[in-house]
Amino acid sequence: MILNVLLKRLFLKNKLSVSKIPPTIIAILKPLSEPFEERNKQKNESHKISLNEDILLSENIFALPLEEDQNVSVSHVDSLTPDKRYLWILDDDGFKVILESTPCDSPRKCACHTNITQAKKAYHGGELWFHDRHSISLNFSSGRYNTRTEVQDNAVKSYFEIIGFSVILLD
Amino acid sequence: MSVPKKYIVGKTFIEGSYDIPGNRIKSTVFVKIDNSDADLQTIVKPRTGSFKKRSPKSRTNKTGFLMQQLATRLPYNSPFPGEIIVIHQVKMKELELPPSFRSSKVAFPQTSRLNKTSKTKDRIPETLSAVEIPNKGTFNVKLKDIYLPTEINLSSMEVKVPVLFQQSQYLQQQDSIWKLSVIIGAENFKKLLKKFDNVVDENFVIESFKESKEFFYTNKDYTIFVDTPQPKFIKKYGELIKISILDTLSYLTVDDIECIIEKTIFKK
Repeated sequence: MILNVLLKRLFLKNKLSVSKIPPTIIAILKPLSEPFEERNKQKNESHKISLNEDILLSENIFALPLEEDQNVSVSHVDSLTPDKRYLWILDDDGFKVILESTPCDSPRKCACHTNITQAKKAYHGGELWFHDRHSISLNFSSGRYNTRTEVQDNAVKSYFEIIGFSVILLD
Repeated sequence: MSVPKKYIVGKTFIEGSYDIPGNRIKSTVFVKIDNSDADLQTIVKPRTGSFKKRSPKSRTNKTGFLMQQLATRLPYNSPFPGEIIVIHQVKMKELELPPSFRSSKVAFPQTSRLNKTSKTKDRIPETLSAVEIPNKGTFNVKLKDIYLPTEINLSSMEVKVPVLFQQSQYLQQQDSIWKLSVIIGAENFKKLLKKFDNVVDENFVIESFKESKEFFYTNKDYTIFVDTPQPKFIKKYGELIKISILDTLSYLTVDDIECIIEKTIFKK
């Protein structure tokens, strides 16, 4: 909570554009990393992304905050179903989002986080559901761009709030 | 009679395609000869498509005919053990099933999760009916297991490989075979396919996990499984125990395990 207030104050003080991540938040985030980079380091493995999971599904990707003409599927807080689940990633451009059920010519047949990044570097990723255009529930479920600590989770949440969302963090 | 060669894998399978006269079903039959217990396993896969409803009598004849066709195709001195095991693709579309199977009211669970405490084979009825084959005698026909011919893309390769898929408690959907390839790596998957004559069954899953060095972390109750022991998980769930992928199989399916890698966490 305190962190959140401080970040908001700093953000306003610096009058940063909402499309740029405040340096105070970047300082908390895990450094930009390749998909599965940290996992592979920790486990001494070379887990790779699957076929076509690096295809950029650009037509279906959109940025946050939402543009006026950007439609989204909304879910009730008590009914977070897979068909309305979005994937989010945070990179230097800010948040990018795609509906997970977007068709993709990969073995899993639907979008994954690297279909947003083209398998390039990002800070973090996860899943989210829109409750309306300014309210979301989110988690940090991404094996490709994971978070390590609660502090990082809270920093991401703060940035969502800074760009105008009311956020419910999911367990 | 056309015989697609791609499913003929070594000496394990004899495969043929049979037209059953009088109806529009064309069946692909896979014969598996298991020398270890001298069983003969037959896989019958009716092609999907529209065909006319037939009278029970004619259906019985056609089942018998199929068995006859099979018998005539076998070498004279084949190690006939005294019984034939018919392995049938069971889709509960009635018209696709021969009457002997339908009347036995067998429904192999297609979507529901199998009870992990019991072996798959215990849940499938053994003898369904006896079939008389001229000059060969009467044989017990069993619905023991299902082998479904399919093709899959290895996770990181363009190549499609033919696979005979057998549903098991660990891997229930053929659509999920690629997840095994993701978990153990495409190259290892390819090597194992060769070793297992392209059959992806329960043993394949176990063997692939035995050879894998993959591991995860779980809580004391084995209800939370995480990919890496991140500080936030330890804070939330307490001490996390390292668990090998083979041991993970005692609690989770292949689908669940792939989820750990893709989403970092799986909760039972």
